[in-house]
Amino acid sequence: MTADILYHSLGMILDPVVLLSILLGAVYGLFIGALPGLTATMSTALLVPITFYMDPLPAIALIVASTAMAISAGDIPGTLLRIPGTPASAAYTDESYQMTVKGKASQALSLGFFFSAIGGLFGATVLLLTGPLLARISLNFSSFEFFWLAVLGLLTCALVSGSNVARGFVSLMLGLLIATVGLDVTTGAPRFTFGQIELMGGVSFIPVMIGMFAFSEILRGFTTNKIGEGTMPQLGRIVPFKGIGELLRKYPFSAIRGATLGTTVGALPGVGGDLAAWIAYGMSRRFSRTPEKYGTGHPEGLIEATSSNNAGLSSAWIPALVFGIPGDAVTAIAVGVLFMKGVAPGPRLFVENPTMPTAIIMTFFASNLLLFPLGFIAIKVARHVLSIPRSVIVPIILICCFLGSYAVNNTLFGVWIMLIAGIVGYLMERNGFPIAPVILGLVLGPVLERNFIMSMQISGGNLLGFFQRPIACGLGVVICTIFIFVLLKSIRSWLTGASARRREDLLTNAENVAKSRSGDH
Amino acid sequence: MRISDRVSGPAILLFGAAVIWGATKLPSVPGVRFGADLMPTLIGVGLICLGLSIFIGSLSVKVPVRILDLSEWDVPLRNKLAAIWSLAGLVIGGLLFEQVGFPLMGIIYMAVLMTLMGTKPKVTALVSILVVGALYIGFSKGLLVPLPIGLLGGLLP
Amino acid sequence: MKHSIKQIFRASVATLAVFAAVGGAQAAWPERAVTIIVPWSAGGGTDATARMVAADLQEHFGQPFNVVNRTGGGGLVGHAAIGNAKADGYTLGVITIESTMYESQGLPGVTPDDFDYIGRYNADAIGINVSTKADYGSVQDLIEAVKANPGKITASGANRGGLSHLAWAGLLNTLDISPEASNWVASAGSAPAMQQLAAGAIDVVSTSPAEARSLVEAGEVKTLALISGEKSELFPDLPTTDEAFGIKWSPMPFRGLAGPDGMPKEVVEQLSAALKDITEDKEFRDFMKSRGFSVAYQDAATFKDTVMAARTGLAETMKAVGLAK
Repeated sequence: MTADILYHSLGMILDPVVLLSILLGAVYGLFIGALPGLTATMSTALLVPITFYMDPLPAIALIVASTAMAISAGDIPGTLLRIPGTPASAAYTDESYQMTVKGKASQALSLGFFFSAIGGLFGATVLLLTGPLLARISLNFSSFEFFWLAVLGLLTCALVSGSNVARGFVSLMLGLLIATVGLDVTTGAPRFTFGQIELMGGVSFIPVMIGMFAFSEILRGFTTNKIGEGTMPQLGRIVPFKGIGELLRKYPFSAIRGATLGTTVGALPGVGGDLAAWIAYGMSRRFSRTPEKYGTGHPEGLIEATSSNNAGLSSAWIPALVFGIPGDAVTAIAVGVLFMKGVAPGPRLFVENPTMPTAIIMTFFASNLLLFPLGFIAIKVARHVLSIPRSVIVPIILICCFLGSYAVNNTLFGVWIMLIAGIVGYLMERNGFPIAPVILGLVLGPVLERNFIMSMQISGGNLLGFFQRPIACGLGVVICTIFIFVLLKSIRSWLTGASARRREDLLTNAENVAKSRSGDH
Repeated sequence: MRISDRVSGPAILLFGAAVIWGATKLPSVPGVRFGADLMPTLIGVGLICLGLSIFIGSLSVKVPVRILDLSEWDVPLRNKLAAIWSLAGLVIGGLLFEQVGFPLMGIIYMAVLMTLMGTKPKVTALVSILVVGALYIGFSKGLLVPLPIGLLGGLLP
Repeated sequence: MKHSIKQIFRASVATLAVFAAVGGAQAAWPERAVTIIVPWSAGGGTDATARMVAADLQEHFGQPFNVVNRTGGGGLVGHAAIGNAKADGYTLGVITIESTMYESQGLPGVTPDDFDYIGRYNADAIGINVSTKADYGSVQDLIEAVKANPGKITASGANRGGLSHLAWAGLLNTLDISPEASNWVASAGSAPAMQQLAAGAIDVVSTSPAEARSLVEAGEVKTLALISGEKSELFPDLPTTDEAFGIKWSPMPFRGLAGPDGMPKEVVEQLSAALKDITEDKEFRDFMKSRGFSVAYQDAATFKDTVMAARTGLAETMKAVGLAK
């Protein structure tokens, strides 16, 4: 990485066409992300036909800018309406929605955009400095290592499910079970499909997410609000990015820790940013001085999770650019576009034409910097969402839920899934079963199962195989230690009767939360 | 709607057992030792353990809890109707989706719900037509989601 | 309140009947947008080529050709959607070799008889890839190693019963080696399998040379041979297994345009002719080459024969490996 290459790639970036692509991509991503049910993957796929007619760098810049923006803007419906934009943001949707309920929507949105940008810039820096090296390391990860990472993800369930761990794990199991529906990867045989062809494709997490979070929230609203009188939660004074400095002083390490974690986990192909946000949120709670505030609208975990989210997005490009191994659907599309433009990703790209990958990484900087001004506008506009009366916004949300679940695969099947998930989610929340772990299970289920089965098939069923590779062994020992520690701790608290008391508090607690969520204080 | 842990615990346990039973019914393929049934079986075992722990936990709670608590639905009739329509309207709309088309179905669904929730007729008409129209154009023209136009097909381009 | 709902509902049902009676007049195809269903996810090879074909068809016919991804179930959901669509020429699809396999796997929903074939535009053989850290100089060395150590060499590339698996197992079977002599590790596609290969957890990945290209260039992986009877125009240096062993085993994954069975004959003819023009177009050929795909046009009848041949050939292999039901 010489100054010469940096200078040349900077020149490529400053081309008006590239800058315009970044701006247009960002605005487009903002809209897609802010619409409930539309994802970054979908926005990227829709861009592919347009990229046919573009030069390689503007084409990639368009994709980079739109995904970075869509991922961050996905937090807007999550924060205001409790509709998470991505499976990653499901980890902290409850937290940010609680902030809205408490009248701190402005702060929640501001910190979402601000720390997304910080995380993204951090990830881009790492990508720029150590891209090929990090890719080399990530190439050493086999199914054994991925299996342990997935287990680590599962353990964070205990941390995101609040006071009742057993109930959280029931939700997690439900998510894992839903993830097994469809054609099994090992044998290609249909599992739990009841002869339905649509079910053979599996259950997509988007309608489940929309149903469980948004629809169930609306059903609950009907029980707590007198119709005609209920209003949306107060927005508070809208001053974008106000109070960020104070948060930075108060939680100086959260953003750095989140971004580091996001970059590391995001660079592993196939695991990516989704898992990073969950682990980051869980870890933040673990190390927090005030873990009891989590889930009540506390900014600390949000900072960590949202910065890891965008950092992971940047670093997911590391294995894609260096070895052509796409880590998620977005990078898979991007790799395809690059090939099409005659820019073959691979280590040779970095040696023969280093300005090109450097310029691509530069577009990450530009896109993440754009998060500040566009985020500012988005927050300003978002105030109008909450000033709409409940009797108008609820029907609008519901029709968006319908369209969002329809658009997943362009069939009504998604709508049915969404409705069922809505009723189930409502019943679960009323009975103290948290919803977020269901989404965690859905996201992690395939990763966990595939890598577990692969590893078992490679080692011939020998569980010691999971400790035979050096990285796997290290991860395995750490995770087993955490697990035994958590188990011992919960047995001890059970023996001392602490958990019985906590359980009694739980139902009253759930009641209060349900009330406050509907903005009916 | 709240269900007592003394009911939901055993229900989760039974569900876990059903999952394991379902897993044994999955076709096995010769030459595959770790196949489709492994993961569901593990999930089933987990559910049985968790159901058991929830049930045991519920025994130690001294405060009596009703088996089924529906008190939260003691709300005005309008609320109940709105809740039912929010679900049933989408089911009906879904079933007639291809024939009626998205624009009409969306407008009717929104208009009924807004009326039930007490919005003024003028606002209702304006908002439902504008929102559905914008969504229809945005999704079918901008995002290329093939939404059926249905009955309004003759009126719109 | 309830009353008014009922009224609205009744009115809408009545209007429905009126409009349904008016609609349905016939005109020359295509008078409106055509949907092309792609059974694989956006951004993949099938999706990218389908979008390119769709863009060219749009130019050719002057009506929009919209690509819709219907994914899941190893392509089954999308293939079934194509086969079960209304045969009016307004719903077409891009089909892949997986469509010939569901029947033998015992999966309901779609068989090769449910399609009207329009034409094939691409076919690429599957390659045998090994890690550069292992010292297999040629495909013969690898096969000798499989023979010498049954059960020691692990291979991957797709699910058990996926085309990657069948190509590899069929190769062993044709060479009179038990398919079980090489342990198949089920993976969700070629990308995770390539990762496993690079990490040194498995020994062989059977996938197209285009998918292996980046890691081959990185010096992590080398492609030994193509499981095919014809050499690839894009990778002319790679030997084929047919010439290496003097056998005949050529399972070629294809991509082609098809529609539901019973489409109007003149629509199929128009589309088939248009597809031929597209595959001869320089811009399209350059695009395919840049992605590492070869252009291999077949007209409707030949394409149908290819599909039916693949159907019987793969069914036999699946029986040999004990997968067919």
